[in-house]
Amino acid sequence: MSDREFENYLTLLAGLLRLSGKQREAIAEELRSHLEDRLEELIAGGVSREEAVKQALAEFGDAAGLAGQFAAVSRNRKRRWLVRLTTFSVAATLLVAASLVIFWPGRNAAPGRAMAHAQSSAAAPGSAGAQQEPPKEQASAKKSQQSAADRIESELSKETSIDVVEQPLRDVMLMLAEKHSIPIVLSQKKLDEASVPSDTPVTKTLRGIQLRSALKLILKDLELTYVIRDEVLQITTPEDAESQLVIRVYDCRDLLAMQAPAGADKFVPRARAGQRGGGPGLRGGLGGPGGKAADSAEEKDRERPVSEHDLRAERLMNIIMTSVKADSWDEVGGPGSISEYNGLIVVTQTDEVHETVERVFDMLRQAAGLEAAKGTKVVR
Amino acid sequence: MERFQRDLVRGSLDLMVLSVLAGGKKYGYLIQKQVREASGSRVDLAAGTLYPLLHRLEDEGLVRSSWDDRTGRQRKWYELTAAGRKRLSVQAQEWADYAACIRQLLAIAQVKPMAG
Repeated sequence: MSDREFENYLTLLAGLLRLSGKQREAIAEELRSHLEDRLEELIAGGVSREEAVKQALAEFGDAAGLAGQFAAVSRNRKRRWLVRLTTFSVAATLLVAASLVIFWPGRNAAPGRAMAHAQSSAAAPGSAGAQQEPPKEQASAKKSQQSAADRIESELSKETSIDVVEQPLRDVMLMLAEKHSIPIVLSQKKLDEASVPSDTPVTKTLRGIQLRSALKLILKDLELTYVIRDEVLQITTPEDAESQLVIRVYDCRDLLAMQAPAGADKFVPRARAGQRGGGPGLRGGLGGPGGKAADSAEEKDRERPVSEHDLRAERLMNIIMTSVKADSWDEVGGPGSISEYNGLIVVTQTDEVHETVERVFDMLRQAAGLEAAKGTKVVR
Repeated sequence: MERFQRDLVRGSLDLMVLSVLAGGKKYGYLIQKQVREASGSRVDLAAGTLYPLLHRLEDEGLVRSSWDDRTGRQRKWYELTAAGRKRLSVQAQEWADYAACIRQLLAIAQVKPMAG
Protein backbone atom coordinates (compact mmCIF):
# COMPACT_ATOMS: atom_id res chain seq x y z
CA MET A 1 0.00 0.00 0.00
CA SER A 2 2.82 2.33 -0.67
CA ASP A 3 1.81 5.75 -1.86
CA ARG A 4 2.98 7.62 -4.88
CA GLU A 5 3.96 10.58 -2.74
CA PHE A 6 6.10 8.30 -0.60
CA GLU A 7 7.74 6.83 -3.65
CA ASN A 8 8.49 10.29 -5.00
CA TYR A 9 9.98 11.37 -1.73
CA LEU A 10 12.09 8.24 -1.44
CA THR A 11 13.24 8.46 -5.03
CA LEU A 12 14.33 12.01 -4.47
CA LEU A 13 16.04 11.10 -1.24
CA ALA A 14 17.80 8.16 -2.86
CA GLY A 15 18.96 10.46 -5.64
CA LEU A 16 20.41 12.83 -3.10
CA LEU A 17 22.25 10.11 -1.21
CA ARG A 18 25.71 9.69 -2.52
CA LEU A 19 26.03 6.08 -1.54
CA SER A 20 26.21 2.80 -3.36
CA GLY A 21 23.00 1.52 -4.93
CA LYS A 22 22.61 -1.17 -2.31
CA GLN A 23 23.00 1.18 0.64
CA ARG A 24 20.59 3.62 -0.95
CA GLU A 25 17.96 0.97 -1.45
CA ALA A 26 18.34 -0.23 2.12
CA ILE A 27 17.79 3.27 3.48
CA ALA A 28 14.79 3.89 1.23
CA GLU A 29 13.31 0.54 2.25
CA GLU A 30 13.77 1.25 5.92
CA LEU A 31 12.19 4.69 5.67
CA ARG A 32 9.35 3.33 3.55
CA SER A 33 8.33 0.91 6.27
CA HIS A 34 8.40 3.76 8.77
CA LEU A 35 6.23 5.97 6.56
CA GLU A 36 3.73 3.17 6.10
CA ASP A 37 3.56 2.46 9.83
CA ARG A 38 2.95 6.10 10.50
CA LEU A 39 0.33 6.34 7.79
CA GLU A 40 -1.60 3.40 9.25
CA GLU A 41 -1.51 4.90 12.69
CA LEU A 42 -2.70 8.31 11.54
CA ILE A 43 -5.53 6.82 9.52
CA ALA A 44 -6.53 4.63 12.46
CA GLY A 45 -6.66 7.84 14.50
CA GLY A 46 -9.26 9.25 12.13
CA VAL A 47 -7.10 11.40 9.88
CA SER A 48 -8.02 11.39 6.20
CA ARG A 49 -5.67 9.47 3.99
CA GLU A 50 -4.56 12.51 2.07
CA GLU A 51 -3.89 14.43 5.24
CA ALA A 52 -2.07 11.47 6.76
CA VAL A 53 0.30 11.20 3.80
CA LYS A 54 1.08 14.89 4.09
CA GLN A 55 1.69 14.69 7.79
CA ALA A 56 3.86 11.59 7.63
CA LEU A 57 6.08 13.26 5.05
CA ALA A 58 6.16 16.55 6.92
CA GLU A 59 7.46 14.72 9.99
CA PHE A 60 10.36 13.45 7.94
CA GLY A 61 11.45 16.93 6.99
CA ASP A 62 12.81 17.84 3.59
CA ALA A 63 14.62 15.16 1.65
CA ALA A 64 17.73 17.25 1.15
CA GLY A 65 18.17 17.78 4.87
CA LEU A 66 17.69 14.11 5.63
CA ALA A 67 20.08 13.08 2.88
CA GLY A 68 22.58 15.49 4.38
CA GLN A 69 22.28 13.70 7.74
CA PHE A 70 22.93 10.33 6.18
CA ALA A 71 25.80 11.80 4.21
CA ALA A 72 27.35 13.06 7.44
CA VAL A 73 27.20 9.53 8.87
CA SER A 74 28.96 8.05 5.86
CA ARG A 75 31.51 10.87 5.77
CA ASN A 76 32.38 10.12 9.36
CA ARG A 77 32.74 6.47 8.52
CA LYS A 78 35.22 7.29 5.77
CA ARG A 79 37.02 9.72 8.00
CA ARG A 80 37.46 7.14 10.71
CA TRP A 81 39.05 4.80 8.22
CA LEU A 82 41.26 7.51 6.95
CA VAL A 83 42.37 8.36 10.45
CA ARG A 84 43.24 4.74 11.11
CA LEU A 85 45.26 4.52 7.94
CA THR A 86 47.11 7.76 8.21
CA THR A 87 47.70 8.35 11.89
CA PHE A 88 51.44 8.31 11.40
CA SER A 89 51.60 10.45 8.32
CA VAL A 90 49.26 13.16 9.52
CA ALA A 91 51.98 15.24 11.09
CA ALA A 92 54.09 15.11 7.97
CA THR A 93 51.15 15.95 5.73
CA LEU A 94 50.19 18.90 7.89
CA LEU A 95 53.74 20.18 7.78
CA VAL A 96 53.83 19.99 4.01
CA ALA A 97 50.42 21.60 3.71
CA ALA A 98 51.38 24.38 6.06
CA SER A 99 54.56 25.18 4.19
CA LEU A 100 52.68 25.15 0.91
CA VAL A 101 50.21 27.65 2.25
CA ILE A 102 52.95 29.87 3.59
CA PHE A 103 55.35 29.74 0.68
CA TRP A 104 52.98 29.36 -2.22
CA PRO A 105 53.97 32.12 -4.61
CA GLY A 106 51.38 34.77 -5.22
CA ARG A 107 48.69 32.91 -3.35
CA ASN A 108 46.69 36.09 -3.14
CA ALA A 109 46.13 35.82 -6.83
CA ALA A 110 44.57 32.39 -6.40
CA PRO A 111 41.20 31.26 -7.85
CA GLY A 112 38.55 33.85 -8.70
CA ARG A 113 40.86 36.65 -9.68
CA ALA A 114 43.10 34.98 -12.18
CA MET A 115 40.11 33.54 -13.89
CA ALA A 116 39.71 36.51 -16.21
CA HIS A 117 36.13 35.53 -16.64
CA ALA A 118 35.33 38.85 -18.16
CA GLN A 119 31.71 39.76 -18.57
CA SER A 120 30.42 42.78 -20.35
CA SER A 121 26.86 43.78 -20.85
CA ALA A 122 27.92 46.20 -23.52
CA ALA A 123 28.73 44.34 -26.70
CA ALA A 124 31.63 44.74 -29.11
CA PRO A 125 33.65 47.65 -27.69
CA GLY A 126 34.13 45.76 -24.42
CA SER A 127 36.18 43.09 -26.10
CA ALA A 128 39.05 45.40 -26.98
CA GLY A 129 40.62 45.07 -23.55
CA ALA A 130 40.91 41.32 -23.72
CA GLN A 131 42.78 41.40 -27.00
CA GLN A 132 45.65 43.24 -25.48
CA GLU A 133 46.35 40.63 -22.85
CA PRO A 134 49.65 38.99 -23.63
CA PRO A 135 49.09 35.34 -24.55
CA LYS A 136 51.93 34.10 -22.39
CA GLU A 137 50.27 35.27 -19.23
CA GLN A 138 47.09 33.53 -20.20
CA ALA A 139 48.90 30.29 -20.75
CA SER A 140 50.40 30.29 -17.29
CA ALA A 141 47.12 31.27 -15.68
CA LYS A 142 45.53 28.31 -17.37
CA LYS A 143 48.01 25.87 -16.01
CA SER A 144 48.14 27.15 -12.46
CA GLN A 145 44.59 26.34 -11.51
CA GLN A 146 41.36 25.01 -12.72
CA SER A 147 38.82 27.72 -12.16
CA ALA A 148 35.40 27.04 -10.75
CA ALA A 149 33.91 27.76 -14.16
CA ASP A 150 36.19 25.23 -15.83
CA ARG A 151 35.24 22.62 -13.31
CA ILE A 152 31.55 23.21 -13.97
CA GLU A 153 32.29 23.09 -17.69
CA SER A 154 34.00 19.74 -17.45
CA GLU A 155 31.26 18.36 -15.22
CA LEU A 156 28.68 19.38 -17.81
CA SER A 157 30.26 16.93 -20.22
CA LYS A 158 29.96 14.03 -17.79
CA GLU A 159 27.23 11.45 -17.99
CA THR A 160 24.22 11.65 -15.78
CA SER A 161 20.91 9.92 -15.19
CA ILE A 162 17.75 11.31 -13.78
CA ASP A 163 14.42 9.79 -12.96
CA VAL A 164 11.96 12.14 -11.32
CA VAL A 165 8.19 12.30 -11.20
CA GLU A 166 6.51 15.57 -10.30
CA GLN A 167 9.44 16.83 -8.29
CA PRO A 168 9.89 20.54 -7.62
CA LEU A 169 12.42 22.13 -9.96
CA ARG A 170 14.36 23.35 -6.94
CA ASP A 171 14.83 19.80 -5.61
CA VAL A 172 15.75 18.38 -9.00
CA MET A 173 18.47 21.00 -9.41
CA LEU A 174 19.67 20.33 -5.89
CA MET A 175 19.87 16.66 -6.68
CA LEU A 176 21.98 17.28 -9.79
CA ALA A 177 24.15 19.70 -7.87
CA GLU A 178 24.80 17.08 -5.20
CA LYS A 179 25.39 14.35 -7.69
CA HIS A 180 27.94 16.34 -9.66
CA SER A 181 29.37 18.39 -6.81
CA ILE A 182 28.83 21.67 -8.57
CA PRO A 183 27.02 24.76 -7.33
CA ILE A 184 23.66 25.26 -9.03
CA VAL A 185 21.49 28.23 -8.10
CA LEU A 186 18.12 29.39 -9.30
CA SER A 187 17.98 33.04 -10.35
CA GLN A 188 14.93 33.62 -8.21
CA LYS A 189 14.25 37.12 -9.49
CA LYS A 190 14.38 36.13 -13.14
CA LEU A 191 12.27 33.05 -12.48
CA ASP A 192 9.71 35.21 -10.71
CA GLU A 193 9.68 37.61 -13.62
CA ALA A 194 9.05 34.72 -15.99
CA SER A 195 6.39 33.34 -13.62
CA VAL A 196 8.16 30.02 -13.19
CA PRO A 197 8.02 29.21 -9.47
CA SER A 198 10.94 27.23 -8.09
CA ASP A 199 8.57 24.44 -7.10
CA THR A 200 7.32 23.91 -10.64
CA PRO A 201 6.94 20.13 -10.93
CA VAL A 202 9.42 18.34 -13.17
CA THR A 203 8.90 14.89 -14.60
CA LYS A 204 11.78 13.42 -16.54
CA THR A 205 13.50 10.12 -17.12
CA LEU A 206 16.89 10.34 -18.78
CA ARG A 207 19.71 7.88 -18.74
CA GLY A 208 23.34 8.02 -19.73
CA ILE A 209 23.38 11.45 -21.33
CA GLN A 210 25.62 14.42 -20.68
CA LEU A 211 24.65 16.64 -17.79
CA ARG A 212 24.61 19.53 -20.26
CA SER A 213 21.92 17.86 -22.35
CA ALA A 214 19.93 16.77 -19.33
CA LEU A 215 19.81 20.35 -18.07
CA LYS A 216 18.80 21.65 -21.46
CA LEU A 217 16.02 19.10 -21.77
CA ILE A 218 14.64 19.78 -18.32
CA LEU A 219 14.88 23.55 -18.65
CA LYS A 220 13.59 23.77 -22.18
CA ASP A 221 10.16 22.57 -21.06
CA LEU A 222 10.01 25.45 -18.61
CA GLU A 223 11.38 27.94 -21.13
CA LEU A 224 14.47 28.37 -19.01
CA THR A 225 18.15 27.89 -19.62
CA TYR A 226 21.38 27.91 -17.68
CA VAL A 227 24.46 30.05 -17.68
CA ILE A 228 27.80 29.81 -15.89
CA ARG A 229 28.18 33.04 -14.03
CA ASP A 230 29.97 34.15 -10.87
CA GLU A 231 31.49 30.69 -10.47
CA VAL A 232 28.12 28.97 -10.23
CA LEU A 233 25.72 27.43 -12.68
CA GLN A 234 22.67 29.66 -12.71
CA ILE A 235 19.22 28.65 -13.87
CA THR A 236 17.59 31.62 -15.50
CA THR A 237 15.56 32.91 -18.43
CA PRO A 238 16.98 32.85 -21.97
CA GLU A 239 16.65 36.65 -22.10
CA ASP A 240 18.78 37.03 -19.00
CA ALA A 241 21.31 34.51 -20.25
CA GLU A 242 21.63 36.36 -23.54
CA SER A 243 22.14 39.69 -21.87
CA GLN A 244 25.30 38.31 -20.32
CA LEU A 245 28.15 38.40 -22.77
CA VAL A 246 31.28 36.54 -21.89
CA ILE A 247 34.66 37.02 -23.49
CA ARG A 248 36.61 33.93 -24.31
CA VAL A 249 39.90 33.58 -26.12
CA TYR A 250 40.24 30.51 -28.32
CA ASP A 251 43.72 29.42 -29.19
CA CYS A 252 43.44 28.52 -32.87
CA ARG A 253 47.10 28.76 -33.77
CA ASP A 254 47.07 25.06 -34.62
CA LEU A 255 44.12 25.42 -36.96
CA LEU A 256 45.65 28.42 -38.69
CA ALA A 257 49.10 26.91 -38.98
CA MET A 258 48.05 23.50 -40.23
CA GLN A 259 49.31 22.19 -43.51
CA ALA A 260 47.07 23.23 -46.36
CA PRO A 261 46.35 20.57 -48.97
CA ALA A 262 48.68 20.66 -51.98
CA GLY A 263 47.73 23.29 -54.51
CA ALA A 264 45.70 25.31 -52.06
CA ASP A 265 48.09 28.22 -52.45
CA LYS A 266 46.78 29.19 -55.81
CA PHE A 267 43.45 30.09 -54.24
CA VAL A 268 45.08 32.73 -52.10
CA PRO A 269 44.34 35.98 -53.84
CA ARG A 270 46.73 38.90 -53.68
CA ALA A 271 48.66 37.65 -50.70
CA ARG A 272 51.31 40.25 -50.04
CA ALA A 273 54.52 38.35 -49.63
CA GLY A 274 56.26 41.26 -47.95
CA GLN A 275 53.96 41.14 -44.95
CA ARG A 276 54.16 37.46 -44.23
CA GLY A 277 57.11 37.14 -41.91
CA GLY A 278 56.96 40.74 -40.79
CA GLY A 279 55.61 40.73 -37.27
CA PRO A 280 52.34 39.63 -35.80
CA GLY A 281 50.09 41.62 -38.11
CA LEU A 282 47.63 42.96 -35.59
CA ARG A 283 44.21 43.53 -36.96
CA GLY A 284 41.25 45.11 -35.37
CA GLY A 285 39.04 42.32 -36.52
CA LEU A 286 35.63 42.94 -37.94
CA GLY A 287 34.39 46.39 -37.30
CA GLY A 288 37.80 47.34 -35.87
CA PRO A 289 39.87 50.38 -36.80
CA GLY A 290 41.44 48.88 -39.96
CA GLY A 291 43.25 52.00 -41.18
CA LYS A 292 44.76 50.31 -44.20
CA ALA A 293 41.42 49.11 -45.45
CA ALA A 294 39.72 52.45 -45.22
CA ASP A 295 41.55 53.96 -48.21
CA SER A 296 39.14 52.70 -50.84
CA ALA A 297 35.39 52.68 -50.68
CA GLU A 298 34.94 49.05 -51.73
CA GLU A 299 37.20 47.88 -48.99
CA LYS A 300 35.31 49.57 -46.22
CA ASP A 301 32.93 46.70 -45.66
CA ARG A 302 35.50 44.02 -45.75
CA GLU A 303 39.18 44.32 -45.16
CA ARG A 304 41.32 42.79 -47.78
CA PRO A 305 43.40 39.92 -46.44
CA VAL A 306 47.02 40.90 -46.33
CA SER A 307 48.68 37.55 -45.72
CA GLU A 308 47.86 33.89 -45.90
CA HIS A 309 47.57 33.83 -42.16
CA ASP A 310 45.09 36.68 -42.18
CA LEU A 311 43.12 35.10 -44.95
CA ARG A 312 42.85 31.90 -43.04
CA ALA A 313 41.87 33.69 -39.88
CA GLU A 314 39.25 35.59 -41.81
CA ARG A 315 37.86 32.39 -43.22
CA LEU A 316 37.83 30.69 -39.87
CA MET A 317 35.93 33.58 -38.33
CA ASN A 318 33.49 33.50 -41.21
CA ILE A 319 32.87 29.83 -40.63
CA ILE A 320 32.01 30.59 -37.04
CA MET A 321 29.79 33.53 -37.86
CA THR A 322 27.85 31.71 -40.53
CA SER A 323 27.53 28.35 -38.81
CA VAL A 324 26.89 29.42 -35.22
CA LYS A 325 23.75 31.46 -34.59
CA ALA A 326 24.28 33.68 -37.61
CA ASP A 327 22.03 36.50 -36.44
CA SER A 328 23.85 37.02 -33.17
CA TRP A 329 27.00 38.77 -34.48
CA ASP A 330 27.60 42.49 -34.55
CA GLU A 331 28.09 42.48 -38.32
CA VAL A 332 24.37 41.85 -38.68
CA GLY A 333 23.31 43.89 -35.69
CA GLY A 334 23.61 41.19 -33.01
CA PRO A 335 25.38 41.50 -29.66
CA GLY A 336 28.32 39.15 -30.33
CA SER A 337 31.71 39.96 -31.78
CA ILE A 338 34.73 38.08 -33.02
CA SER A 339 38.25 39.17 -33.81
CA GLU A 340 41.65 37.63 -34.17
CA TYR A 341 45.14 38.37 -32.96
CA ASN A 342 48.04 36.18 -33.88
CA GLY A 343 46.02 33.00 -34.04
CA LEU A 344 44.09 33.74 -30.88
CA ILE A 345 40.43 34.28 -31.60
CA VAL A 346 38.59 36.52 -29.21
CA VAL A 347 34.87 35.94 -29.05
CA THR A 348 32.38 37.99 -27.07
CA GLN A 349 29.18 36.03 -26.91
CA THR A 350 26.65 34.40 -24.65
CA ASP A 351 27.64 31.19 -22.92
CA GLU A 352 25.33 29.19 -25.10
CA VAL A 353 26.94 30.43 -28.31
CA HIS A 354 30.40 29.91 -26.83
CA GLU A 355 29.55 26.31 -26.28
CA THR A 356 28.73 25.82 -29.93
CA VAL A 357 31.74 27.83 -31.07
CA GLU A 358 33.93 25.54 -29.03
CA ARG A 359 32.29 22.52 -30.56
CA VAL A 360 32.81 23.80 -34.08
CA PHE A 361 36.52 24.38 -33.39
CA ASP A 362 36.77 20.87 -32.00
CA MET A 363 35.03 19.45 -35.03
CA LEU A 364 37.39 21.31 -37.32
CA ARG A 365 40.32 19.93 -35.42
CA GLN A 366 38.90 16.47 -35.62
CA ALA A 367 38.28 16.80 -39.35
CA ALA A 368 41.82 18.05 -39.84
CA GLY A 369 43.32 15.29 -37.73
CA LEU A 370 44.64 17.71 -35.15
CA GLU A 371 44.96 16.92 -31.47
CA ALA A 372 41.52 17.74 -30.07
CA ALA A 373 41.81 18.67 -26.43
CA LYS A 374 45.11 20.39 -25.82
CA GLY A 375 43.70 21.88 -22.68
CA THR A 376 44.66 25.33 -23.89
CA LYS A 377 41.93 26.15 -26.28
CA VAL A 378 39.78 28.33 -24.09
CA VAL A 379 40.67 31.12 -21.77
CA ARG A 380 37.74 32.29 -19.81
CA MET B 1 3.11 19.33 28.64
CA GLU B 2 5.80 21.22 26.82
CA ARG B 3 8.65 19.47 25.10
CA PHE B 4 12.11 19.52 26.57
CA GLN B 5 14.47 22.02 25.10
CA ARG B 6 16.34 20.75 22.09
CA ASP B 7 19.73 21.48 23.56
CA LEU B 8 18.91 19.49 26.64
CA VAL B 9 17.78 16.50 24.61
CA ARG B 10 20.53 16.54 22.03
CA GLY B 11 23.26 15.36 24.37
CA SER B 12 21.34 12.31 25.49
CA LEU B 13 19.82 10.94 22.31
CA ASP B 14 22.29 8.07 22.08
CA LEU B 15 21.54 7.10 25.63
CA MET B 16 17.78 7.14 25.00
CA VAL B 17 18.03 4.91 21.97
CA LEU B 18 20.46 2.51 23.62
CA SER B 19 18.18 2.27 26.67
CA VAL B 20 15.14 1.49 24.56
CA LEU B 21 17.08 -1.21 22.73
CA ALA B 22 18.18 -2.74 26.03
CA GLY B 23 14.61 -4.05 26.26
CA GLY B 24 15.10 -6.11 23.10
CA LYS B 25 15.14 -5.95 19.33
CA LYS B 26 13.19 -3.09 17.79
CA TYR B 27 12.71 -1.30 14.52
CA GLY B 28 12.88 2.46 14.06
CA TYR B 29 9.21 3.19 14.33
CA LEU B 30 8.94 1.29 17.62
CA ILE B 31 11.97 3.04 19.06
CA GLN B 32 10.45 6.40 18.22
CA LYS B 33 7.15 5.41 19.77
CA GLN B 34 8.68 4.10 22.93
CA VAL B 35 10.77 7.23 23.48
CA ARG B 36 7.66 9.33 22.97
CA GLU B 37 5.64 7.28 25.45
CA ALA B 38 8.36 7.06 28.06
CA SER B 39 8.80 10.82 28.01
CA GLY B 40 5.10 11.59 28.14
CA SER B 41 5.45 13.13 24.66
CA ARG B 42 8.07 15.56 25.91
CA VAL B 43 10.70 14.08 23.65
CA ASP B 44 9.81 13.68 20.01
CA LEU B 45 12.58 11.92 18.23
CA ALA B 46 12.07 12.93 14.57
CA ALA B 47 12.61 10.23 11.98
CA GLY B 48 15.11 12.51 10.29
CA THR B 49 17.18 12.40 13.46
CA LEU B 50 16.53 8.82 14.50
CA TYR B 51 17.57 6.95 11.36
CA PRO B 52 20.89 8.70 10.78
CA LEU B 53 21.56 8.17 14.49
CA LEU B 54 20.81 4.46 14.26
CA HIS B 55 23.11 4.17 11.26
CA ARG B 56 25.86 5.91 13.13
CA LEU B 57 25.44 3.63 16.16
CA GLU B 58 25.64 0.68 13.81
CA ASP B 59 28.82 2.06 12.25
CA GLU B 60 30.30 2.40 15.69
CA GLY B 61 29.45 -1.23 16.40
CA LEU B 62 27.07 -0.43 19.24
CA VAL B 63 24.02 -1.91 17.54
CA ARG B 64 23.55 -4.47 14.82
CA SER B 65 20.67 -4.73 12.40
CA SER B 66 18.84 -7.39 10.47
CA TRP B 67 15.95 -7.46 8.02
CA ASP B 68 12.87 -9.40 8.95
CA ASP B 69 9.29 -9.54 7.70
CA ARG B 70 7.76 -11.59 10.51
CA THR B 71 5.53 -8.68 11.44
CA GLY B 72 3.97 -8.64 8.00
CA ARG B 73 6.18 -5.92 6.67
CA GLN B 74 9.84 -5.93 5.72
CA ARG B 75 11.55 -4.10 8.56
CA LYS B 76 15.02 -3.38 9.74
CA TRP B 77 15.44 -4.50 13.34
CA TYR B 78 18.13 -3.17 15.62
CA GLU B 79 19.61 -4.79 18.71
CA LEU B 80 22.43 -3.97 21.11
CA THR B 81 25.83 -5.55 20.64
CA ALA B 82 28.10 -6.34 23.57
CA ALA B 83 29.88 -3.05 22.97
CA GLY B 84 26.50 -1.34 22.94
CA ARG B 85 25.59 -2.79 26.32
CA LYS B 86 28.86 -1.65 27.74
CA ARG B 87 28.43 1.84 26.31
CA LEU B 88 24.94 1.95 27.78
CA SER B 89 26.12 1.18 31.29
CA VAL B 90 28.98 3.67 31.05
CA GLN B 91 26.67 6.39 29.77
CA ALA B 92 23.99 5.53 32.31
CA GLN B 93 26.51 5.95 35.11
CA GLU B 94 27.71 9.22 33.64
CA TRP B 95 24.16 10.47 33.36
CA ALA B 96 23.34 9.56 36.96
CA ASP B 97 26.44 11.38 38.16
CA TYR B 98 25.56 14.38 36.05
CA ALA B 99 22.00 14.49 37.35
CA ALA B 100 23.28 14.21 40.92
CA CYS B 101 25.65 17.07 40.24
CA ILE B 102 22.87 19.29 38.93
CA ARG B 103 20.64 18.39 41.87
CA GLN B 104 23.41 19.31 44.25
CA LEU B 105 23.93 22.68 42.57
CA LEU B 106 20.23 23.41 42.63
CA ALA B 107 20.07 22.47 46.30
CA ILE B 108 22.88 24.92 47.08
CA ALA B 109 21.06 27.62 45.16
CA GLN B 110 17.91 26.66 46.99
CA VAL B 111 15.97 26.63 43.78
CA LYS B 112 12.84 24.55 43.89
CA PRO B 113 11.28 23.20 40.75
CA MET B 114 7.96 24.76 39.91
CA ALA B 115 5.02 22.72 41.09
CA GLY B 116 2.96 21.23 38.35
